[in-house]
Amino acid sequence: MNVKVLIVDSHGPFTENTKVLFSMEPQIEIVGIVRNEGECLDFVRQSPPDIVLLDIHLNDGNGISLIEQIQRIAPIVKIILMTECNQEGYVIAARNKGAQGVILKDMYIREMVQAILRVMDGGSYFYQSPLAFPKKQIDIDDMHFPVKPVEILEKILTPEEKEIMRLLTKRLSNKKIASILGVSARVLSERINIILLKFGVNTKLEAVLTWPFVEP
Amino acid sequence: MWDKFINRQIYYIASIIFIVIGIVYFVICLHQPYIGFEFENDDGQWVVTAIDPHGAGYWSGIRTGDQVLKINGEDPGKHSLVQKWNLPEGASTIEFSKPSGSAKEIVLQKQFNLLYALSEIPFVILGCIFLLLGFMTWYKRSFLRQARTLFWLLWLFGLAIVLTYASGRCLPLAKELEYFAFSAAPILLIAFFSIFPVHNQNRINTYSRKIVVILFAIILILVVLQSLGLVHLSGLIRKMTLFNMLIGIIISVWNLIQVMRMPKDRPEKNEASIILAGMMIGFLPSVLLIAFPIIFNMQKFVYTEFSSIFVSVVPLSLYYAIVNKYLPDSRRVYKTIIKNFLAALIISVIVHYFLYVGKIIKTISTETYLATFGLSLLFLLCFYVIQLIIGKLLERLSFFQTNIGLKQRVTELNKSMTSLISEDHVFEEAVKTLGIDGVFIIVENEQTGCLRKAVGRFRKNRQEQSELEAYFSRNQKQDLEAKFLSDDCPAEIFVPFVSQNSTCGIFFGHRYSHIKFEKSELPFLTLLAGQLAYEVLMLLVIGNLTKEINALTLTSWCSQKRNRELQGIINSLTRMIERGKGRVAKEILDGPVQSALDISRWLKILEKENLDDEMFQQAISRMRDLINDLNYDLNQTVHNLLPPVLADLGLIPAIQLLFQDIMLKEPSFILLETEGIGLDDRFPEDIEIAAYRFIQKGIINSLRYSGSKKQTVRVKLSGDKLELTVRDNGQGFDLDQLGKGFLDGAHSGLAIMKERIERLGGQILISSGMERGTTLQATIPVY
Repeated sequence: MNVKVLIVDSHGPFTENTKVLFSMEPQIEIVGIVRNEGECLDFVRQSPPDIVLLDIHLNDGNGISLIEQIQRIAPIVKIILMTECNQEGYVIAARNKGAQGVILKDMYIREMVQAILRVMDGGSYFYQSPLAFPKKQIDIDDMHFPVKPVEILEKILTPEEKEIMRLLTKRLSNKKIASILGVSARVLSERINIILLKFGVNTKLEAVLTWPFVEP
Repeated sequence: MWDKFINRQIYYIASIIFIVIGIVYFVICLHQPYIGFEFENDDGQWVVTAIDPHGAGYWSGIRTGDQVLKINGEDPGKHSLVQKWNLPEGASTIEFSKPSGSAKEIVLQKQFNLLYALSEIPFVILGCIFLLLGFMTWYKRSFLRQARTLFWLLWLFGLAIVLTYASGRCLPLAKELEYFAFSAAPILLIAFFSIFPVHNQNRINTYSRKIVVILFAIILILVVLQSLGLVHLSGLIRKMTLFNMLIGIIISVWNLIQVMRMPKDRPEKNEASIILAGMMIGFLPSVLLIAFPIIFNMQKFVYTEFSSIFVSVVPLSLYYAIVNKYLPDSRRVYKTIIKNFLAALIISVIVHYFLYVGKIIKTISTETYLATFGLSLLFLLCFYVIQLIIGKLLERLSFFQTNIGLKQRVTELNKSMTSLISEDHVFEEAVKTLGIDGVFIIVENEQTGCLRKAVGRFRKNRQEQSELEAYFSRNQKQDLEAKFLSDDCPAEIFVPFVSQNSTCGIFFGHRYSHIKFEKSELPFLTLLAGQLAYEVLMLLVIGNLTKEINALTLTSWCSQKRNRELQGIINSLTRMIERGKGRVAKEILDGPVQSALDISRWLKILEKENLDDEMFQQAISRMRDLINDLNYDLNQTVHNLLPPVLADLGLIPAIQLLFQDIMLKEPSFILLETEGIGLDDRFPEDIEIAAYRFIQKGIINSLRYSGSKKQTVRVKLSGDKLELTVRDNGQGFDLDQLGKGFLDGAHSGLAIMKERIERLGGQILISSGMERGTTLQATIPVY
């Protein structure tokens, strides 16, 4: 039995490509493509699909607010929200509104099918990047430096990461550091995120303040 | 030359001639005795027909009816002056006999006699007054025909008067000159009254003037003939002269009466009335002292010459009427004259009675009464003159500053009143100038309400003020007359009046000198009070207008300032928008466009080259990196422009994301405190964006300028207000400089933010100081 999927997305070429990609998957049947809220609600009202792949940004509205409306018309319809960026807020909002999943629009198609199938089976799929910001409340009064024993930090940081830390303490902007290192802004940003993870902190400041202990 | 002579010099020459004639004849008269009787040759007997009581003849015992036997030891007919004028003047000895038979010889000495001199001075003075008044009239109004005519008229009369004694003594040419003057005078009299007070060139005037001119010519011829001894018509000449004068007087009076019949509002009528009054006064003493006795057949008074001095009032009134443009109301003049005349009448009766009781006069007779009456009049006149002189003197020396001083002060005050701008000054000036201890004014107006002003002692004394107010409300409607208040009242005078829909009352305090105000000063104070109240009302109106004008000016100034501000904001906005667009364009060009080009390059290789596995994997890996970069850069750009999360999820998630992002990129802590607001709370789009931008701007400013490592952001939803606070503990800045540089440089963003939030009905509060950190606060109404 195929899963009937309705794609709700205002971005024409992306939708068409999605349909093409799904055509390789026999378990998924794209029953319709709609471009805005009204069409979506009409479609759901007339022939409710199993799953609605809902883009968060629609021409005439917001995907998140559409979740409730769809569920009001057809409570059995399951909804998966598609977003461009990997952000915690969207996941929380979507879950609170009653969506069964959140996926990134640039996900590998098989992964996407996996997500659809899991949701179809009554589960949920909330994508979370390994670099997603950890949910930890900053308590400024409970700060202490160094944040971790210096020897450990010394060991876990690669020479490249150490170089980045040196540049960071020189109060250079990320853009400048990226150009010094000859990497793109994205790469630098990812690397800094990794450094912060190694430090076990949430903010650049904590890392910067700890660094003098590691390398005075 | 002749014109000039006629115009000016002839008047000086005439005056000099007059004075020379006067002095010469006066000096001669002092040494020439005045015999003073007339006689007629009655069949060879020279019988005295009239005798002057002032003459030496009278004093020597000669009386009417006596027979003159010899003059200078000869028959009287042989005496030259007797031949000429039928007068015994110039004689040194006279022998006469009484009807009783006794004969007597008197010797008349040519020597200076003080008594004579004194008795002759009044006429000299009178003549000189005539000349002087004529001269002054001409001098002051030489362009007036009336003035010039009056000069000649008075010159002639004055000459005749000065020559009286000389002609009486038959001095050489004196009689001729006197006749000339007397007969010429009527011509000028008619000429004068036909042009003054009004031009009245009618037929009667013209004919009568012709008659008097002819008569004058005849008299002149006769006088010359008589003087040469060719004819003996002295009696005729005298009668003709009198007749001529009579015509002149009648025509003059007729002219005056014509003028008197004019309508009341004509100034000429007033002039004529004043001249008539002058004539009445001038001739009254003569009538009383000379005409009365003659009419009632009484003895003439001895010194009647003084009464002739009063005649000078006649030319004086003429002089006054011509020289002065503005004359007092003649009715008032008459009223004064009648009043004083009656007063003199009563006084003289009383005095006369007391004199009789006191046995100072023996019998009551018309003669004595008239003398008393004359003295009373003289007394009253002298009294007035002396009073006037003393008053003027005292005013000059400013001994008393009561009545006159007050007048002057009120005048002074009025002069300075217009220059006093502030209303308080008006009163202080009033108090100072009047020398009183205070002024209290109440102005009640239905529109503007009740206004009170107190100066001096009333300023701080509430009790006295309320006392006076009570008095004011009691006496408001009764009448509008100024009143004296009782001694125990704090003020002395109360002046109520109504002006411009306002009921006003002004209280004047006591004088510092403790001198009470006089009743006669009330009109001045009333006048002053009126002006003060008027000033106050005007100031009230002006004050209201000024307030309105100030408010308008302020509004206009504010709106101008506002316009400039907005202009500045628009300018910086335009600049910022262009800068932002440029930045975005550059971002896209540097990042995504370059990445896309690179991807495109790698794809071409994949398409065209037959790569081995390793190379293929490497190419794919490169492309993935590039695509990730592309995604990342584009996401960053989108996020920087306007984070989608704000529209998708709301304010708090957007702020959280913003802070996470900043904290990853900048070495800073940002603490978010929320109160009354949750992750799900949504607001209108413009409010969410404004709030987000406010916090973003606050954080960026703080990161850039404060040097602080920590920012605290507080978002509070209380009621229908969203309160946002961004606080740091950095170095802060000077708020004054912020005000100055609000529109340029670093703070233009704040100015725009302020504008934006105020558009939403909110407000921004910035508090900062050097080394005290900065707190930005915004309150936005959300419903």
